[in-house]
Amino acid sequence: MAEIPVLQNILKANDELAAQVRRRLAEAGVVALNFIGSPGSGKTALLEQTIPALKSVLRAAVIEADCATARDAERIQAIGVEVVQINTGKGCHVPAHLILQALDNLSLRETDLLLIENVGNLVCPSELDIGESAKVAVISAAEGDDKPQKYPMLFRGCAAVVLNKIDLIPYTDFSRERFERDLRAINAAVPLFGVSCRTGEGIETWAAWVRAFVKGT
Amino acid sequence: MHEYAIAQALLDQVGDIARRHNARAVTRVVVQVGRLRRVLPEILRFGFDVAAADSIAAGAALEIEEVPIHVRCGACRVESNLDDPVYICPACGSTQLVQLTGGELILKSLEIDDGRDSGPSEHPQSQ
Repeated sequence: MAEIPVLQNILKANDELAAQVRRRLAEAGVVALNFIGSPGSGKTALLEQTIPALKSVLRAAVIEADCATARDAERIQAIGVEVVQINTGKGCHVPAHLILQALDNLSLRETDLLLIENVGNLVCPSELDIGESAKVAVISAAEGDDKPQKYPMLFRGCAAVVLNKIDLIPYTDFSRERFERDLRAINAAVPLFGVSCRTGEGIETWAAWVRAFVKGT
Repeated sequence: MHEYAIAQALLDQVGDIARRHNARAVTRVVVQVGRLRRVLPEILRFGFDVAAADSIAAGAALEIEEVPIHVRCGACRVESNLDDPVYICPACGSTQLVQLTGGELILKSLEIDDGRDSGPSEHPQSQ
């Protein structure tokens, strides 16, 4: 019998690949945002609104990760930017090695901003580094206002929170006050953007943050 | 369900280390998990047992050490443990907290069967 001390991150294998992704993006001068949110929170809709709002100042590309289908990638293709679809099958998140493979199919030298839409899930994607510059939490008013306390890893670890579907708030029990109070208890300083991808409300302010983030990174 | 993914990553790592040490079997695995990870120990243990079944770590005991969310307040400098991920200083109410621990997901150590008895036999006395 022998005792072997290790003290090694359990996610080390993934983290090493994430470091490779980060290096390749840095070499090409690309800033990457990792969008994490529930299925149906409006992640794809947010990209559909954000990319045209930035089109005159930033060259965008997209990686779409879903368990199955290329439906999201088709939606992104329709707005005329480069997109790679990853299907994770049973996988509930996208690991760094799939991002690394996807980079081979993108023109990184012609890209300023890479938007990665993770698999719809608030837990696993927030645990795994995929080489992004920052994580963005996407939450919709229809999901309820109790998410920050339930998913602290995401709300503690993200650089921005987008609250989508604010146009629906009058028809739900969502309390913006309760949501903000809970969010602030997890992350006092994170910028919060209320938007409606349906009406376009709030998109301009959010897009301005993205622009400033890309410039400052 | 994220416990299963963690268990798989853990076992991949355990297998690599065990092979490097020419282990016959892995008998014990000790991990440190920060409270912020929201890992349920019984689910992680179940996932570990299932994923380990056909591996060198089959039947190994999994010990899970929970690491508290430990913070230092930027305003009053007091260090505290947070029971819940509510980042408000229990001493002064400030939200300017620096997190010192709580996000860990660490393989701390392994115990392997390397074909030798433990203890004095590692340093055999010459006769």
